[in-house]
Amino acid sequence: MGAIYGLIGMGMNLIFNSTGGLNIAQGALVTLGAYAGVTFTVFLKLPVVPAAILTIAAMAIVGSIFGYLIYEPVRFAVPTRFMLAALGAGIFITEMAQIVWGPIPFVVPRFIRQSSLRFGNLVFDTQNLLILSVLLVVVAIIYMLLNKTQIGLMMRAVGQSKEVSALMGIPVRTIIRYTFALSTALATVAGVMAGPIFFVTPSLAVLMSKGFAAAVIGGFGRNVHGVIIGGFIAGVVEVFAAFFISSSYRDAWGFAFLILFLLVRPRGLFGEAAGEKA
Amino acid sequence: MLTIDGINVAYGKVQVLHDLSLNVKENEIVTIIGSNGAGKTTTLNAIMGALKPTKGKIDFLGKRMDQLDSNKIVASGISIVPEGRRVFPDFSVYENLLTGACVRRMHGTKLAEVENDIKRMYELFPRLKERHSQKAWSLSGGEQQMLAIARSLVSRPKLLLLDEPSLGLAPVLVREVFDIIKTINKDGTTILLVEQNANMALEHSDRAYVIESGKIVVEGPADELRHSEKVKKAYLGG
Ligand SMILES: Nc1ncnc2c1ncn2[C@@H]1O[C@H](COP(=O)(O)OP(=O)(O)OP(=O)(O)O)[C@@H](O)[C@H]1O
Ligand SMILES: [Mg+2]
Repeated sequence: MGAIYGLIGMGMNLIFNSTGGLNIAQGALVTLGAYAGVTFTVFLKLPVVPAAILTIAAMAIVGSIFGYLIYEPVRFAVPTRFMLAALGAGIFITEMAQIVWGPIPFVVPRFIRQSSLRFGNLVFDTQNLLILSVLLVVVAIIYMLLNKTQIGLMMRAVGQSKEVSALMGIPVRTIIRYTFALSTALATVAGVMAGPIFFVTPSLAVLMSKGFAAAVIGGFGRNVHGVIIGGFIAGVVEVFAAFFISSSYRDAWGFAFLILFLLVRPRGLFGEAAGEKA
Repeated sequence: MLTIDGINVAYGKVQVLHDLSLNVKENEIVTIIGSNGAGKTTTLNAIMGALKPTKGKIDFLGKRMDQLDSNKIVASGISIVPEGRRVFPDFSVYENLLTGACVRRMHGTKLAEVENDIKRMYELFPRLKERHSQKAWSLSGGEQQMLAIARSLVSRPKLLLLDEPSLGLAPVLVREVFDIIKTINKDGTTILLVEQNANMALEHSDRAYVIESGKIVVEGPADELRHSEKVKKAYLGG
């Protein structure tokens, strides 16, 4: 669960760093990604691996179009403009999903038939193991991409200053479009992974608030690991609070924790000290 | 080499440059002096393609530049040291230098070749070498200025634009910056410099322009300008 929050948060973090705004439509993109996954597997009956590749590729294209249509027109305005545009786009996408795929939830079959693995006395749910390993692979890929490639370098440069990046000859608009593609690909992985746990319905979009919490706990910084750990903390807090206190306000406990957390560490776990930004 | 021919540049409705013309010849050091808000930075940003002139044209090496995107302009051999030594604060010295080579890398230059250039920069700026993996925000003002200059050189420019490189630096460092500019120029890079530190700039330049309210009002050999009464009064403190 925490892994899924972490993935969503990572995507929001990428966009936040390069645009300065929150992509409120990230939840809708998670939903859309999940539906895309359903379409390729359930309707088109493709095997898992090609379906996954097609889903992610298709959604990356959707993401760059999203960036082009929603972000670019407001790129010179204050970041709240982009947040409002994204809010509208998110509602639009969710409603369209409802119309295209209908209101009835899709039950997605488990990815692996055998439900648990035993290592001595330990029993693991295969579904969770799979999610965890996907997360690790994705984090490794993102880390390499951001830190070891030319595109990653340009993405991080654009995140620090669009004007200076442009003066250095970095094609800022293209790079931001790639960032949207990447972020949407992350949302899609999250949506597909969430499918078998929550069913696929437009309400998957609410996962975004958890992803946001993950990003906040991790500190909207430049680091990937903070958000992932934030995601796990959010997941763990939720489960424990539901178990020990009351399950009927499961979500509320998570946010209560978030508020408490922000009081203690306003910049997040790994947030930078104020002076560093000067 | 660079010819600006009667450009008008505006921010929205506010026109800042009015029919501005200037030229830079190969291997020259040319200075633009002018007071705050005269339009010096705007001129350099227009050359870099960050602002598009509404009239007139900009030619570089016989090719028209004024409607091209910045990455094409960098690719054709112009690079800038922006005003206020704008290095990337969260990048290490090394990563900052890599960003200078983004355009070359996109055109297929190998990383090894870029790293060779970075090594040469470390020879030119030994203090940067010591701070190779240090984050740029933690460098001193002088070191950041050196880094900003080195970053632009990694793109292997034929023409280097510098926007007030001496701003806010101690006199020793100002001298050091100008020495570096001389060295870069001797190695075959043409320089277009913007300065308020007019004395020092004129001393090191071949020719100069004086800009006032977006218009060129005086131009000529640097020595001549240094001794002109008008320039002395307005820009050299009497
Ligand atoms: N982004 C902008 N939007 C609107 N007007 C601007 C902008 N940047 C500069 N100006 C205006 O353009 C004029 C010229 O500014 P410019 O920055 O080119 O001056 P400058 O000669 O570089 O001054 P300084 O010595 O202070 O750096 C000024 O009147 C300024 O107010
Ligand atoms: Mg200026």
